[in-house]
Amino acid sequence: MNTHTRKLIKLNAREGLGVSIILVILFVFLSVSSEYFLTVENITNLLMHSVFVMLVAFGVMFVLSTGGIDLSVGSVLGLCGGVTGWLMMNGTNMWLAILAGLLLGTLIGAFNGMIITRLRISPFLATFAMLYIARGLLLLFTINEPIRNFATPEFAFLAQGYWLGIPMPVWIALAVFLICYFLFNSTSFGRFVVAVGSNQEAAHLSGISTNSIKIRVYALSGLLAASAGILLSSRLTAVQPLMGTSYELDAIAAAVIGGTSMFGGKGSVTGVAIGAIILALISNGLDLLAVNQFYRLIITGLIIIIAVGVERYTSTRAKTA
Amino acid sequence: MGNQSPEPIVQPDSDRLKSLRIPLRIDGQIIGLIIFLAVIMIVMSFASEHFLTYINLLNILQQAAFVMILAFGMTFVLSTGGIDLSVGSIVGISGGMTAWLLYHDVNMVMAVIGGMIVGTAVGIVNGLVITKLGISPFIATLAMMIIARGVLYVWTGAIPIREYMSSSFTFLGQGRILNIQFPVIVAALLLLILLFVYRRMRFGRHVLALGSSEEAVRISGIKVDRLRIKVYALSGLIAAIAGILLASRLTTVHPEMGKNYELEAIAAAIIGGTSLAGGKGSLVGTALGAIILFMIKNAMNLLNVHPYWETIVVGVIILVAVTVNIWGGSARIRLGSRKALKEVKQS
Amino acid sequence: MSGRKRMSMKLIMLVVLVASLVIAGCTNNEAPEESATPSVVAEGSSTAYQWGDQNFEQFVGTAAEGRTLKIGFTPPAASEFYDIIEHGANTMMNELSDRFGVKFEFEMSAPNEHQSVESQVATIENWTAKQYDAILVSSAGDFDAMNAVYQKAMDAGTAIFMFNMPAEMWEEDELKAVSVIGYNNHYQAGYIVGKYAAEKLQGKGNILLIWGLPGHWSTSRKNGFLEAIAPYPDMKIVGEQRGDYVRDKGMQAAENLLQAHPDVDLIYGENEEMAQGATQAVEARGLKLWDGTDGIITIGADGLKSGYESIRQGKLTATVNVGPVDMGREFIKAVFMHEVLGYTVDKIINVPTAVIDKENVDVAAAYTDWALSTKRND
Repeated sequence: MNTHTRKLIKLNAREGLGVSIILVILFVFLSVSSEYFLTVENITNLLMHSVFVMLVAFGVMFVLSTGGIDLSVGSVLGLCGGVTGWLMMNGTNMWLAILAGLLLGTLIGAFNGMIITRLRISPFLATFAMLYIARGLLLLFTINEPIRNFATPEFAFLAQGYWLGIPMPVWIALAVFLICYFLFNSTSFGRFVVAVGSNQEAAHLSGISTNSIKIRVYALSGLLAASAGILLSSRLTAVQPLMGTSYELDAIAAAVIGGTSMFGGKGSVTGVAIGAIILALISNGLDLLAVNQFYRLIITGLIIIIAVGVERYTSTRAKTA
Repeated sequence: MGNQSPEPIVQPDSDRLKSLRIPLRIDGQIIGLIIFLAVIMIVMSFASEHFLTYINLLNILQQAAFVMILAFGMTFVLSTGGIDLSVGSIVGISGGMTAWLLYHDVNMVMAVIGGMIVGTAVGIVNGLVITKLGISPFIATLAMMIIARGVLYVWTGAIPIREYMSSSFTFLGQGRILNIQFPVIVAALLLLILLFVYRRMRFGRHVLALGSSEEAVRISGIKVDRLRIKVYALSGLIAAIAGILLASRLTTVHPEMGKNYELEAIAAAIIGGTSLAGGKGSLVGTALGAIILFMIKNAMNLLNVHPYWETIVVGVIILVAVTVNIWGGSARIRLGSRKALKEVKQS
Repeated sequence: MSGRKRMSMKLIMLVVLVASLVIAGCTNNEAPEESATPSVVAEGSSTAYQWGDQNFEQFVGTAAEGRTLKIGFTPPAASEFYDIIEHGANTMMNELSDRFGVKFEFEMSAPNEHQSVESQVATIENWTAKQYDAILVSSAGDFDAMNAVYQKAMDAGTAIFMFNMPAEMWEEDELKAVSVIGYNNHYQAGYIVGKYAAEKLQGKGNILLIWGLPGHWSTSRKNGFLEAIAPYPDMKIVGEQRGDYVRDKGMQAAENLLQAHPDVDLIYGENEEMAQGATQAVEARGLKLWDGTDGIITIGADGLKSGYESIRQGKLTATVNVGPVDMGREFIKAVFMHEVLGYTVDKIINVPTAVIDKENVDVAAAYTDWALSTKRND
C-alpha cells in the first residue's frame, strides 16, 4: 500500500514534464511573434489572470484525486465573494468578513462531502445540485441592490496591491501552492487522498476513514473556491450575480492539463499550476496576436486537447520507462 | 463504421447475470421516480388550477422533449462510464447545418440528413480522440464543446441563421399529430427504438458490460475502441436530431443555441437512475428525469415563484429526486453491485 | 423630438452616402449598367456632410495624416446586436479615413462565457499592454467593478470609452471613462416601453415580463418600465420569469406563464430574442397577437434585423431601436475627436432611441441594413 503510493508520487514528479513542454513552446512562440508579450507588464498580467482559476483548480485537483468531482466551485466562488462583500457593505470588519466568506465556503464543501458520503449520492450530482443552490443564494443576496461600494483600500489591496513589484494575488497563489504541495506530497492526508482515489476498497480495508477523507477534500475545495471568490471581489470591487459562472470547467481543464486523472488516484500540484497558467496564456496570446474573435474558441479547444494529449503521452512513457 | 463483423459474445453467464439483475433494479427506481412525479403533480394540482390540464401537461412534455432526446444519448454514454459534454454544441452546429442547407434551397430531407451527418461526425471525432489519444471523455468532449461552438461562431459570424423555414420543415418542431406536438412524438419513438437497442440488442448489452468492467469486455473479444466510438457517434446523432427539431421550433439558429443543454441532459439521466460510474442505465428513468426537471420549472412559473428562487429550488429538487431514487428500493442492490464491481475492477 | 430631427438628418445623409458609395463602386468597377446614375449627386455628396469648410477639413487632415488609431472593442457577448454596433463603427471609420486619411486598427474580443466580467478585465489589461489608443467597453460588470482596470488603462495612456451602458445608474463623476456612449436614458428604454404599453392598452391590462440574465441592464429596464406604468393602477404585472436573453428560454418562460395567465394583454421581453420567443409561444397556443385593436402585445428592445422582419409580418408588435448603428458611429467619432483633435468629449453621449412598430419600421430597418452592408475599406 505504502510503497504503491510512494511510487505514484515519484511518477508525479516526472509527470509535470508534458505540461512544462507545452508551456515552454507556447511561451517561446508568443515571445517571438508578439513584441508585447515579453514585457514585465504583460507577464504580470498573465500571472494575475491565471491566479483565480489556479486557486480553484488546486481544490478541484484534490477532489479529482479521490475519484470525485466538484462542479459547485464556480457558484461557491461567487457566493462566498458575494457574502464577504455584502458583509463589508453592511459595515462588518474586513477580516471578519473574509473569515466568514472562507468559513462559508468550507461549510458548503463539507456539506457536499456529507451528502456524497452519507446519502451516497454521486459527487457529480451532489455538487451539480449545489451549483444551482449556491448560485441561487447569491442571486437572493443581490435581489435588492448590487453588492458594491464595499471595498476599503485595505481590502482592495488584497487583489490590486503590489509587494516587491509583484501583485498580491500572485503572492497569495504562491503561498497556497506551497501549502497544497506540502499537503499533497508530504502529509498522510495527501497519501490517503491518492489511496482513496486509486482503490477505495483497499484504502478502506487498510484502515483509512475514506468518508472523513472525502469530506475534508470537498471542504478544502470549498475553502479554496471561497478564497478565489474573495480575491476576485477585491479585484472587481463589486460582485456580479453571475460571478464565477463556469469556473468549474476551467478549473477541471487546468487540473487535467496538469496531469490529474479524472478517475482518481493521480494528481500533481505543480501540474495544476502550470495548467492554469497555460489557460491564461492562451487567452493572453489570442489577445496579443489579435486573433479573430470567432476562431478563439476553436484554438482554445484544440490547445486543450493537444496539451492533455501530450501530457498523457509523456506520462505513459514515464511509466513504461 | 460498419459494426457487422460477427463479434464473439460476452461470456454467456455474465450476460445472463446482467439481464437478471437489471430489470429488478430498474423497476424499483422507476417506481420511486413515479411516486416522486405523482407527489409533485398532486401538490401542484391543489396549488394551481392551471397545472393539471391537458394543454399544460402536453406543454411540459414538449419543453422536456429536447432535453429528453439528448439525455437518451447521454444515457448510453454514461452507461459506458463516459460522458459527453459536447451535445449542447452539437445541437447548435447540426441545427445550424440543416438550417443553412434549407436556406440554400436544399431539399428538406437532404438538409435533415446533412444535419444528422454533422452530428454523427462530431460524435465519431469525440470517440476517436477518446480511444486513440487516450484522453478522458470529460476533457475530450469539453474541448469539443468549445471547438464546435467556435466553428458555429466562425460559420455564422454571430449572426443567427434565419429565413430558412418552409411549411414542411415547420412541421418538425411545431406540427401536431392527434394534437400532440411532433417533438414529443419523436421523443417517444426514439425511446421505443433505443429501449429495444439497449435491452434487446447485443450493442446495448455490450455498452452496459463495458461500463461495468472494461477488462471483462476486452477479454471476451469485443473491440472496445470501436464500441466506444459507436456510442459517441450515437450520442452525436441523437443530439443532431434534437438540434434539427429545435431549429424548426425556434425558426432561427442562434450561435448560442443549445448552450448548457448538456448539463440538463446529464441531470435528467442521473435523476433517472443512470450511474455516472457506468454499467447502469435506464432509458425510461431518463425520460422521467427529464419530465421531472421541466415539471418543476413549469410548476414554479405557474406559482409565480420569483425567478431567483427557481435556481435554488431546482438544485434542491435534484438532490431530493436522487435521494428518493436511492430509497426507491434499490439501495441495497446498488451497494451490492458496487462492491461486486469493485471486485471485478481489482481483479 | 430632437431625436426625430436628427433621424431625418441622418436619412438625408444616408441617401447621399449610399448614392456616393454606389457611384464609388461604379467608377472603380466600371460597371456600365449603373453609371446611368446622375453624377451630380456624386459631386453633391462631398459637401452634403462635412464638419466645416475646405479650410477646416484641411487642418483636420493634417492633424490626422499618418495617424493610426488602435481601437479595441469588447462587448459582453458576440451577438447580432453587437455585430450591428460594430458595423455602425465601420461606417464611421470609413468616413473618417476617406475624409481625413486617418487609419484604424480595430479589434473585437468578446468573452466566451456570456457576460464574464473577469475575462473582459483580462482583455482590457492585455490591450493596455499593447498600447491601444482607445478601448470601447460594454460590460455586465458594474462601473465599480471595472473602475480599477479602467483607471489602470487610462494611467497607461489608453482611453476608455464605454457604450451601451446605463450611465444614469451611477454618479457622473464616478465614471472612469472619457465618455459613455449610450442611448435614451430613461432606464435603458424600459421607460418608453412602459409608456408605449400604457398608451396602447389605455392604462389597463395584465402584463408578463421576461428578463434576461440578472445584472444592471435588467435592473434598469425593469425600473424604467415600472416607473412608466406606476400612474396606471389597472396595469398589473401578473407574472415574471427569466429568459437569459436567449430565444428558447424566453419561449419556455412565455409558454409556462401563458398557461397560468391566458388572459394576458402584454408581454415585455427585455431583449428582442426573448420577445420573439414569446411571440412564437403566443402563436403556438393559438392566442391572438395584437392587430392594432386587440390581441396580445409583444414588445422587445434592441433593434435587430429579425425583430424588424417580425414586426413587418405583424407578429412582434413593437421593439425599441436603441440605436446600435448610431452608438457604433458615435463612439468612433468620439475617439477621433478626443484622440486626434484633442477635444473634450461629453461624459455622457446619448444616441436617439425610438419605439418601432409597423408604422415606422421601414426607416429603422433601412438604416440598419445600410450599416450591415458596409465593409471596412482598409
